Amino acid sequence: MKKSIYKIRKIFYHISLRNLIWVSFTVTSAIATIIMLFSFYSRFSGQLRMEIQKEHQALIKQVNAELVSYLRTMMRVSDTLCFSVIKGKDMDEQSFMENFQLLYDTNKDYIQNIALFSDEGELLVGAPAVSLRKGVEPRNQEWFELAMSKTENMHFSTPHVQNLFINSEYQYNWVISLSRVVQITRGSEVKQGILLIDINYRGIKQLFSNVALGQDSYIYLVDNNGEIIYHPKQQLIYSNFVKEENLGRIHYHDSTYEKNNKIITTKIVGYTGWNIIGVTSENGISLNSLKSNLFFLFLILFFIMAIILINSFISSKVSKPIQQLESAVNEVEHGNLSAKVEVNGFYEVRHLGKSVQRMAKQIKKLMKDIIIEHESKRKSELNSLQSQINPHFLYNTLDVIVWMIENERQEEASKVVTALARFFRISLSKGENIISVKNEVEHARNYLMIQNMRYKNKFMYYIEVGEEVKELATIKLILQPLVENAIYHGMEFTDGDGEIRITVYKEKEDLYLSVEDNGLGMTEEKVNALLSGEITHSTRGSGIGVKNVDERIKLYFGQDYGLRIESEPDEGTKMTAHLPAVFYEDIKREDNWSEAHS
Amino acid sequence: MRHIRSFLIFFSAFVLVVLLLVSSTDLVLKEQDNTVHNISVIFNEMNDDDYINFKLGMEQGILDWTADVSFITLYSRNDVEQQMSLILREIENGAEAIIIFPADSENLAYLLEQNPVNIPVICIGTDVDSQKVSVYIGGDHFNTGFTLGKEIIKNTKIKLTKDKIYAFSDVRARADIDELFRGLKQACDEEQISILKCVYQDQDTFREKVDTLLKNKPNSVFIALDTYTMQRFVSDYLEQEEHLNLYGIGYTNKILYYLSNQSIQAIAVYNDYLMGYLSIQKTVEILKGKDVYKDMLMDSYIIQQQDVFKKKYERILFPIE
Repeated sequence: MKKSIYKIRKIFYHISLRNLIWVSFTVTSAIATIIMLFSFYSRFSGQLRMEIQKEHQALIKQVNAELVSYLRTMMRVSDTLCFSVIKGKDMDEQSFMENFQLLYDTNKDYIQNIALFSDEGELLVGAPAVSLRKGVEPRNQEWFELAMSKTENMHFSTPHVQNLFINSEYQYNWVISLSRVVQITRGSEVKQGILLIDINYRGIKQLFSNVALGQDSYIYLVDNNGEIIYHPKQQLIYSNFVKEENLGRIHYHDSTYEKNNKIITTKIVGYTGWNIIGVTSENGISLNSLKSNLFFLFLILFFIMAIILINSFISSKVSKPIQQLESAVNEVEHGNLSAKVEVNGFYEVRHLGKSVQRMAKQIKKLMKDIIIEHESKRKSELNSLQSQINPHFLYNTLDVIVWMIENERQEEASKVVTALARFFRISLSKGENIISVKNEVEHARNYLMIQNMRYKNKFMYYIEVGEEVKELATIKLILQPLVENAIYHGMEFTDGDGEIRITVYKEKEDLYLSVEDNGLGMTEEKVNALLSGEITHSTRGSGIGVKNVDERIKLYFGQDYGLRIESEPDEGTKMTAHLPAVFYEDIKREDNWSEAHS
Repeated sequence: MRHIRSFLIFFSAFVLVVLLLVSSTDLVLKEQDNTVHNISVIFNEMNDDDYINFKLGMEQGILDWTADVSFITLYSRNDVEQQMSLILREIENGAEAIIIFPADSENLAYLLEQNPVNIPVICIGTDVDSQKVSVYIGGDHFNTGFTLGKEIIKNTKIKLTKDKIYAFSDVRARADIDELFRGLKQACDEEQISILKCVYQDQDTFREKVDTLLKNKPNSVFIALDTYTMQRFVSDYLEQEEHLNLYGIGYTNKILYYLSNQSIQAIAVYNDYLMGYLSIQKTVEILKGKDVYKDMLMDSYIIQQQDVFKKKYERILFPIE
């Protein structure tokens, strides 16, 4: 039990919202539909059955009334014969025979024969005029025996072939014999006799054969012993080809009951004790037919299909916005704060979507702020770094100037002082970080000049700048750290044959500023250490490391740009700063615009 | 998953359409097959008076099995060629099946094989050895003959000597009569009584033969091997109030009258009503494509003088119309 509950829980744990809604709604609705249809079906079926039963009962009642009326007519004829024609009238009188014949003529449509027998079986009178067949013994006939057994009653026999009289046309008719005991007067003698009226069986058959109860349903008539008087398949029953449960049904009087998928309605015929039996097959009731059942199945499946489709539509409508929201939240969770958050579906989902949208927006804003703050901080740090000039560089330069003045080399001292002044002017650049290539190159040139003086022309330097790049923008003080690196790593150990070459050029949309020396060169490890900031020039240089140059380029222009170092030991080093080719004036205009709008 | 869902939707829709067609139309399922089948019944006589009970059974069959039946008689009795031409005519007129009372077993078998008969043929009373015959409904004539033979021997008190039983028929080649005689002969052979089959040409030769026998062997027992011969005995002798030791097969109301009148000793009969009914039922079943037994043999009854109006027999002999 616990295991099953666990399994069900597990299924529900893994099931999606859409499937959960779909399955639960479908199962519930399908069960409800099936119960509803079954209850309708059984109600209608019951109603129909009841109506059919009522109709059949009414028909049987009607047939019974007609049969009773028919039999009463015959009994009245018998009574008339008995009390008006036979009783107290002398048989030998002419009028006796005439009255007998008259009654026959009046009723001959229904009556085959009328005959009067003595209690010894002798034919006394017959209408029409007939004579007994050879070898026939009336006393052995069923009707005779019945009349003699209960002399006070009238008796109806079961159908039989009338075989008493000679028939010149060799015709044999089926009749039902109505017999009774009568008092015969012959002269002064009064004796018992038997009055026989042979009723045409065809008349009774007609009463029943006109009644239609519907498909597989029929009506039949049995006597009180269960012997069949009329049945639509009477001959086939007589031939044992068709079976009928006539004997089992005689005990039910004026009732309706069900047996073996059949509804049986019985009605007792007055006086005779006969039983009219109506048989209605369950299959005859239209709701019970195969097609009706298939149609019912069709209805169930149709409704279930419709429910499945509607539920599928509803569950998608409900779950789709939630699924979209979930995937959007997933994207946000994975860092895509610009992920599109759909705001649709129901009120709650829309509200949730809007909240997520706002949250993502908020996070994005906060992150942007953090980045801006971080960048700002970093820029400040870098700016602070680049604005610091190593006091040793200033001290050494001033020392060189003093030395020149003391040795009356005023002209050279003047050049150095002028170069130093320019160097500082460009270093300051009114606090701007972006300057033109022209100024940056000038800054590097002044630095190189001071250092060349200081190092007593131990190296030569060359600067190649195309006119087309001079007005392009560059970050301030990126050449100077590279030149400084070239001097300290390349030129210190040369004997006047050192060369430093600054080249600034443009390729497509990119600007390249390279500093190349023919010094000692560097190993790959050293290059990496230089880029990672592990090596700086400490107190001797300007203090701004190569790493600083790379970081500043990336910070301003993005990760696609930066510094590239190519170096071979004993061959020299080439450091190239890669920047986008943008005009200085354009940047300046943009900065002014940003400042004006911030 | 999407494909499975689409497949399930289309499959369900297909099932629904099929169910709707099955439940609401007759295209797929016919709950009540009310097709009326055209069936022709060809007798071997010039009128159908002797087949009243067959016809009553057939009429009940027509009611129960929805068929349109044409009854056709011959211009000259037992004319097999005429029967064959009538079969072909009925086929041409749209008959879906033929119920035939064969006039001549061998010749009809030959003619059926020779002619383009491609509808079910149902033989009543006499079997025809042909692949074109779908069903035979009739009596077990050998047993009937044997039982009748035993009854005759039992009823005939005097000891029969040679040539005392004479079986008459005017039909030369009919399987039912041959089988019936074979059964009679078997019964007689067991009692070492000889029996002779007399085939007559016409009324004159019939009378001549019977008169001779009555004159020379007044205690002879006569057996009519067919209804026609029985009627001839009745009209030529019994109606003239001549006494005969007469037995036979088949019946009409007149024959039954003389049987009940004690002029005929006993007759062998079949349930003609049931045979008629079954012939229609089986024909319709064949037309509906059902499997049907090839041979349907009926029980025979030996009816003696006192039995005619017994409940059991009067229901067979005088079916209710």
